[in-house]
Amino acid sequence: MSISANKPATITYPQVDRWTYLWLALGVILLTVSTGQFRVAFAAWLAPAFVIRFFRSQKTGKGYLLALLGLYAAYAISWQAILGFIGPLPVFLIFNIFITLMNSLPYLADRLLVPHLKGFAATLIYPLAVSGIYYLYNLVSPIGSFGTPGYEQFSNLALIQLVSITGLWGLTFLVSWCGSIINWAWERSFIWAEVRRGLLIFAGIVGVVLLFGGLRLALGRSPAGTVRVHSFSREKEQKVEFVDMATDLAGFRRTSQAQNDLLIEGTLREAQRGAQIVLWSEMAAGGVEEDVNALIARAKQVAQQEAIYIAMGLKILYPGQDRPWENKLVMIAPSGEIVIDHDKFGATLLYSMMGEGEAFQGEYSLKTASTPYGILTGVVCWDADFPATMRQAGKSNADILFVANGEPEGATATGQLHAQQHIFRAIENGVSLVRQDGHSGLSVATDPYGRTLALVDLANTSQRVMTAQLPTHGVFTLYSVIGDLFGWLAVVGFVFITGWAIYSARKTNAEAS
Amino acid sequence: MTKNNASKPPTSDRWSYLWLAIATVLVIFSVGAVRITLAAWLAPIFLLRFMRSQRTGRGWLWILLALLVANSISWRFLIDMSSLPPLITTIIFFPIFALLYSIPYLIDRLLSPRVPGFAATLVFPLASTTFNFLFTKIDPTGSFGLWPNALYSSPVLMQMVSITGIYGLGFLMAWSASTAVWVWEQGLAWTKIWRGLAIFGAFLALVMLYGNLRLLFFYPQPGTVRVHQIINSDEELVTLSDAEMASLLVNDPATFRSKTEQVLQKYIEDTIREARAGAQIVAWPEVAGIGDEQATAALVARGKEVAQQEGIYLVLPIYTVYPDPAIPVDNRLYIIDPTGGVVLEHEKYGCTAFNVSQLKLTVFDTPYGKMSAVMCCDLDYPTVIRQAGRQGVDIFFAPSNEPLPSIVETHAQQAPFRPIENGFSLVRPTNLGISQYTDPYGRTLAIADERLSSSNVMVVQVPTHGVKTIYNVIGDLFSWLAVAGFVFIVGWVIYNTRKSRSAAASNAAN
Repeated sequence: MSISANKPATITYPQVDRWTYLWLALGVILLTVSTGQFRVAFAAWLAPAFVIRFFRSQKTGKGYLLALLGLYAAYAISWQAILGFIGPLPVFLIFNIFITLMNSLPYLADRLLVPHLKGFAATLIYPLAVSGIYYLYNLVSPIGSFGTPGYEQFSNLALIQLVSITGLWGLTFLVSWCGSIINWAWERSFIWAEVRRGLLIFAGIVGVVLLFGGLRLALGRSPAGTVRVHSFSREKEQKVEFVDMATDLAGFRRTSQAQNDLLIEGTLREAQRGAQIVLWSEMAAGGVEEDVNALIARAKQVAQQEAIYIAMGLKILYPGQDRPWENKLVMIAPSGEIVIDHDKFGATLLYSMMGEGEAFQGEYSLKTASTPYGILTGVVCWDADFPATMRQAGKSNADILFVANGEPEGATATGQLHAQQHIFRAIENGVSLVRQDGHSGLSVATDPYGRTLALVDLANTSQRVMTAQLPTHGVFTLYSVIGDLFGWLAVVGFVFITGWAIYSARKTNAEAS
Repeated sequence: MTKNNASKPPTSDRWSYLWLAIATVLVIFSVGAVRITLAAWLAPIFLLRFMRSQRTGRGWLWILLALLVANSISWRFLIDMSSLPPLITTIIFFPIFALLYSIPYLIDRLLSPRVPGFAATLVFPLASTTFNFLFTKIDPTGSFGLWPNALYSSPVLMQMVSITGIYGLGFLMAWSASTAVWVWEQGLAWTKIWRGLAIFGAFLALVMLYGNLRLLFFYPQPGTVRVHQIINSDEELVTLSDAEMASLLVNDPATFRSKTEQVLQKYIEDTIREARAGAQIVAWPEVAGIGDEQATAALVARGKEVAQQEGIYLVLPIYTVYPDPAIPVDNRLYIIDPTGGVVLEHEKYGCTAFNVSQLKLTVFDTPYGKMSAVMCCDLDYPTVIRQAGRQGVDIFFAPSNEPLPSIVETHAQQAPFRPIENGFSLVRPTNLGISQYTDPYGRTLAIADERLSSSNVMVVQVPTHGVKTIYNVIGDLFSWLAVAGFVFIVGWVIYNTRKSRSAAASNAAN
């Protein structure tokens, strides 16, 4: 070791830090409030900083175990209120192990690789790992991008304009990068002369992102021309009590027919109030195949008679047949034709988990319809958490995205989080969004920049109706062209930086021997 | 005496004039017609830095010039907006405002070198809060010139105004600037700055945590009322100046009457249609009820009939044009209840009001909650609108008209501050601009831009319950504390200066 006196001492790991457990505690608290039911935006920037600091000031094995415990506790508190609906508590607690393990990997990668990479590049390991892992996970996960870090920034409209270029992954990267940057400066004792360049790079990038977003919001406006979309759900007092289909099929059919009548009545009411398009929530109507066919025939008449489009959330059951039930969005044009017939593809697995029987798994694709109100497309609820598929909306130049949504009854926290997440699809693809929930969640309409055009909290409103004027022209976004390029770059970047770290570790070992 | 000279301004900085130039550009985008949030955070940093790297007198003159240049660019629209003659407006708004807005920088330059340590960073925020708070009480443009208006895109931070009023947010911005300059002056040496940064950081974190949690967990009580707003105005007619309207009425009364009658007829027809489509309240924008004296009187009478017949509340602004140009246009708002009675009559006092302290709002009870209303620019006077918060208003109407395209966005951006301060929902039907409905937490829950919309109706469901805010209860306590803090710091500096002078004098005598 021949270090000249005026060079800074080499940074070694584990870092000596007598406050190490304080950092873990702080990290866990911040992590808790930054995810799941809380989503405190600024905590998401800071939380990883303290977890990383803790881990880097511990031996790898012990540090990892303690970090796992901390992460598990944080996610148990923050996600239970959101994901509790998937089943009884033990189911969630087991699922939480998976959440914890996945989120621990970037910290582990950071702890293992950082000691082998000198300099600023080492700050990239953690954010590349987070965005890479979440990107890959979103491709294979049954719940898509649900819960990805970055979504919690929803209230900062200027910041999240970034997703119109990079998709969610650029935002995930940027927010995660903050933690490793703070550690990089921390390990240099925040000595300005040493950390200036790195901090300015990060601040410069955040500044450019905010400026881009600010300008996009200041100058961006969809072209003139709007369409009135009225969306509605059954009112609280119109509750229909379903009987068990297996024991009393006739009784069940009577109930679902009554429910379907309510939806037709509501559609007529909204048409007469000036609707040009009417949207129902997820599985708002339905029943056995015969009843659904009758309902569709009736809806076709209404569409023709009132000259409106009707986008219907339907549930089709096949009692006595060995066939999964279906969850659809069907859109009928004023001509009476069916122009969109979409099967839900997102998170259909959850129905089996929740004991609701096997649901039909739709194809991962979107249908579109060219109309005088622009190109329309529509999906069902959890579909909108799959950015890679939803990107077809941008690619096919869709102007308005319809989401028939249905949060589990009473799941207010889930409903809010879900609505906030779906707005990202509008910004990514430059489409307007209209999304109607069924029970107690949020119904929301936004323009192609994610600005709220209408928002109705169904839990607190006297009428479960939303009226919005949606721009009939979408806007161009780079994301619709390049898609999840940034997701792939994160994966490739992570592989590359891992290789580099391993190579430089070997080199150092070879030199040492 | 020599040892302290290094830290006493003027700080030597060869880039001093560069900071002034940057600040001037940033100020243009901080207040006025185009507001970029980031610019408003950064501008005062560079102004302070410049001022502290100059001798007091010279620095102040330069700042005056910079503000004059910036204001003349960013506030140009005020000339058209003001009810005063252009020359007087020009004289008032540009040089006088530059002079007024430069005062906190001057005070900072004079006092902060005499306050030790991190406490010196409080001089600028206390001075500017004191100035903003006291000046807004008489400022004829209301809150138009307040920098926190630029934070419209940060709903989390905006929640702070539910405790402190808008001035608290100004304090936060000013303190962040003086802290940044302090950090700069310490050469960003971590060992010197970390304590100060931690104090400011903790304050900021507290503000953000409050805002985040408030937005996350708080909503108005259940129960909503359907408000349908209608916009029908004849664009050509409403963009005429008052004098042009009067001359049209005198020179071509037939055209004037046929144009206005058509508009009024359509408003009444659409009101009936929307009432039958489920409206419980129908609201029109400012200038909707345009006509001569006879026509507007007839309109109010017809509005009473319709409200009674359909069982609705009707928010009905009139705009009476008189043939005699000496008589000013009567811009007045009526709210009619389902019995046909007038429950609110309000005469617009903005956009230039010299009697802010005497203005009174009307508040009335309905089955849908307590209501009150003003028109357009009236909303920009927080000291007046506060009456609504104190009286527990649940729903507040502000019918507006935006004949000047340059301030459509600005006006819409600063509207949500009033609901957060006072805990009411705001319904703002806007002619030629952005109609909006905001809940008592400032969440914008509906927007319709008339320039883009194909439909002339916006339907919203407004909570019938407002929320009680801390600001409703404690009022301007925070601002008064800032005033007290400022007075204290001035007194302290004077006392200390005298003490050290007399000490120096007695040393010299010895």
